[in-house]
Amino acid sequence: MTFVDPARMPAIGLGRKLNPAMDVNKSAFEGEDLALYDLFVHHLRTGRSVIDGITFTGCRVEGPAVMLVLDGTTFDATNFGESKGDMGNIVLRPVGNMAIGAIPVRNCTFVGCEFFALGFTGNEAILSQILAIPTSA
Amino acid sequence: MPDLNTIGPVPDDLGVRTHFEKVRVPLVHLIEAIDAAGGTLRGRRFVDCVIHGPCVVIPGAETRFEHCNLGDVAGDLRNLFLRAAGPLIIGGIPLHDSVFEGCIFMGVGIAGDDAFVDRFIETLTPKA
Repeated sequence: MTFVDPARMPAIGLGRKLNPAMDVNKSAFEGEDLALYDLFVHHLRTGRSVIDGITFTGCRVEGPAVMLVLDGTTFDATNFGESKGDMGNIVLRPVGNMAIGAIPVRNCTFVGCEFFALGFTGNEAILSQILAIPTSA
Repeated sequence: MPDLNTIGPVPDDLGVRTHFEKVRVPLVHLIEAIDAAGGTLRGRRFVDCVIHGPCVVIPGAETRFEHCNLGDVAGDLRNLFLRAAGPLIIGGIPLHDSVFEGCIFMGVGIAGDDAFVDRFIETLTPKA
């Protein structure tokens, strides 16, 4: 067990200190930060193969991971992360009908979140929306 | 190919080890451990290992897969692959100068540019 003084946590893009989620077994996260991989592994261990029906508000969601965006997932006022000036850099198109290795996310809501080191895949409609996000670089 | 009944657990020294044999390797934990040790995922050799996702890897040109089982593709090996929409790939795990021999992959996708993906699929497709 180690103790990290919260005041010494690094600042993140959301204008606050990093606040790692201590409990991933819940359906709503607010102002907490977590790795998508850790959340998915928790779901797998509890018999769920999809991250489904979770609300994230003001959260930082980290990779490395590729999110498979499925039906019912929405993003509002969310920063998709550093794209190096080209949103194509965070978009991956599946070659077949599945996306092995990607983490499926269905019916989830992201509000005021930021992503770090995440790529995105899914159907062409959602990928087109991500590609249309303006970049600042 | 490893016997899943005799494969060893995840090594404690993931971050500094360069040779892995007959062990489980969760790639996300591996990259985290290497990052923490101040290194890069480069120059590793994996022999008869089980390589776990979920993750998407970006193999460099010098990375080799020999006699590996790339996992369940649900009847279509194209399901393993993702095409990059830009010149960079964010969210994937780069694999540089590494060798996988006789390994089994579970939940690991592969990403690259069009030429890389097409070439890899052609390599895996049985010749008529």
